[in-house]
Amino acid sequence: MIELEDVSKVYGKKDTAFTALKHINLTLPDNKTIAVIGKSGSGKSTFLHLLGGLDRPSSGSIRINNHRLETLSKKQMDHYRSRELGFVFQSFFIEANQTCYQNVALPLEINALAVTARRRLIEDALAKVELADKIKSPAGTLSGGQKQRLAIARAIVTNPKVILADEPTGNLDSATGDKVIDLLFDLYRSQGSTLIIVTHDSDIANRCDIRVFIKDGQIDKVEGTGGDGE
Amino acid sequence: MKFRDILRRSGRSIKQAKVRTLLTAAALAVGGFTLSVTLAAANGANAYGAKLIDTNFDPSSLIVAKSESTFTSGPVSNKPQPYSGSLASVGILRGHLVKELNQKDLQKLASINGVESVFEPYTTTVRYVTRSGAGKYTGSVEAYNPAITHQFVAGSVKSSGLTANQVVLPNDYLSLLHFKNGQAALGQTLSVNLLQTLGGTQTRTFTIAAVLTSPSTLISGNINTTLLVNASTAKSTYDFVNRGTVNANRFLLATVKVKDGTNQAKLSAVQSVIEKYGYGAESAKNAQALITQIVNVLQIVIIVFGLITLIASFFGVVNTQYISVLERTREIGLMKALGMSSRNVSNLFIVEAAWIGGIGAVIGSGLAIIAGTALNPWISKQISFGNSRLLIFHASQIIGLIIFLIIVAVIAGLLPARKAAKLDPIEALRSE
Repeated sequence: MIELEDVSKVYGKKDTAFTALKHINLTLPDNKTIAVIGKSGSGKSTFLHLLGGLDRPSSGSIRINNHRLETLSKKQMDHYRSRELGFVFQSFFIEANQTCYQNVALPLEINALAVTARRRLIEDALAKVELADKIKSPAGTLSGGQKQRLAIARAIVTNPKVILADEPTGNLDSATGDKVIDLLFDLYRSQGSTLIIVTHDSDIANRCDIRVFIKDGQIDKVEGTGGDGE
Repeated sequence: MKFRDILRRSGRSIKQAKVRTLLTAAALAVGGFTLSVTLAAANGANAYGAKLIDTNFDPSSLIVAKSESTFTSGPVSNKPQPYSGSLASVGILRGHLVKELNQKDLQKLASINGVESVFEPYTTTVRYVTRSGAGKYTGSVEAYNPAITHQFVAGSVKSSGLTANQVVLPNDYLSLLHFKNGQAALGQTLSVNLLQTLGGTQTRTFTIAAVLTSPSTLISGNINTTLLVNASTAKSTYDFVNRGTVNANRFLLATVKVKDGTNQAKLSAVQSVIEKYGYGAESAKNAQALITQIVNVLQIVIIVFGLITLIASFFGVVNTQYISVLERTREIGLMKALGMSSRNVSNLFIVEAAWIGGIGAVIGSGLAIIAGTALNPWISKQISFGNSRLLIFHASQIIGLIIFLIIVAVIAGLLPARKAAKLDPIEALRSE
């Protein structure tokens, strides 16, 4: 369960203060696909950063899977991100000079998983995104779609409870983007995770169980089943 | 994150920036090379010094002079002095006047409790050395000192010493005196003609007991022309040549052999008594300490230059790592977003700096060892080290140096690592 209680985020101070999110109250159930929709500057990225523990709210409370994020220490927050979250970014953020194996290994290394246990997890993750044959290839040699699939493999290799995807098809052509989205939804089903996608694309949004519309830093409306917000 | 993963990940980053890594490491390598060579040269010089002492000094003996200033080469006076009895015992050393020992001094030294004997070489320049059928050659005669290590190429000297008419011949005379080799010279006779300063001449005949070669570490410069005879023969030769002159019974140095002198306490006790009488006394250990001190001073000077190079390379590492952090901002952002702690991000860059330090140190010391080993014979020849080697590399020092350079690089890497650790992941991921 993801719960946001009166969450606000203000950047800057006094005269230069800018409120990116205003008094957000939202409850999202587990194991659902959730689309976060809004225009540029609406506050959807800030929303994702707060859920991802990359930033902290100026006020209010965020509870995800029994973690109150605003109370976590820096170390606990790192731990939370590495164990419970998977990130997929618009710009892939893969390490081009490393092999696919080494890219997918990064979250496992951060979690200090034993070397012997890693190989199987990495092979499984790469197989799920249909990149098993590229395991030794440098990531920089992959096509755009393959790079995003590699990023997805890296996001799912720790079997996270929540996958946060920020415009995952933003840098892909529509055909490749559709394949990547299909893959994400398939994996969500097989992994039993909560999938939160920030998107402009209404087709992608319509495939999600819940759609959260953000406008001017506030929840404009919530559609779909299971979501509850204002 | 496991240290092994940090080590491997940083190693891969270093590998990807090969040229930059090598260039930065090259600066450290220069420092490593200089320091390796300096340490090796100091080792070689000290080893040479120890050999020098071993060849020239008996560890159980003291070298005694009329005054301490003889050893320090300090002038007693470089101006005319009023004549007195003591003036007669003033000699010239390297342009300076120094007091010399006389027969009374030798007797006084011999009477000191704990002194076994007083040895005076009675070095005397002879008119010529010859042999039937051979030419005449210059030379000198000196008392054989059993306490000094000699290198014989043929024959040997019995523990009882040389007899009155025996001589030890330097090998440089072999061909001049028409001997096929050292062995062929043994038991043969040669003549030494003496010219008295005040007129008369005398020819003495000796039987060759041994032939010696001059080790490169021997201080005495004219050893290749010095024939060694027994102490009383040397004294009588000296007395004959110098009779009636101001040089008679004047000696720059004498060797005082101490009973059980290898026992440092006994040696020091006698040394302090000698010094209390106003003489200057130096033990082999003192002489070695002087050589070591000179070597150490030279070593410090070169090490300072090496350290200056290291300071330059220190900033090279800081610069390289700083640029690396800036170039890899997104990578750092990603790692932090995925939960890598700031400490591990910092460690990643510190270990990278350590890699650079290690590579530089291995290249620098490796080149020093290769170049040093290859050039050692040539260097030894140029500085007349004989069989000794100037550059002696000790594995422990090289390992210590590599560790030191790694530590230097790690310290240089701290500031960039701190910057990497402080990067805000959101800002880092935005940078494109």
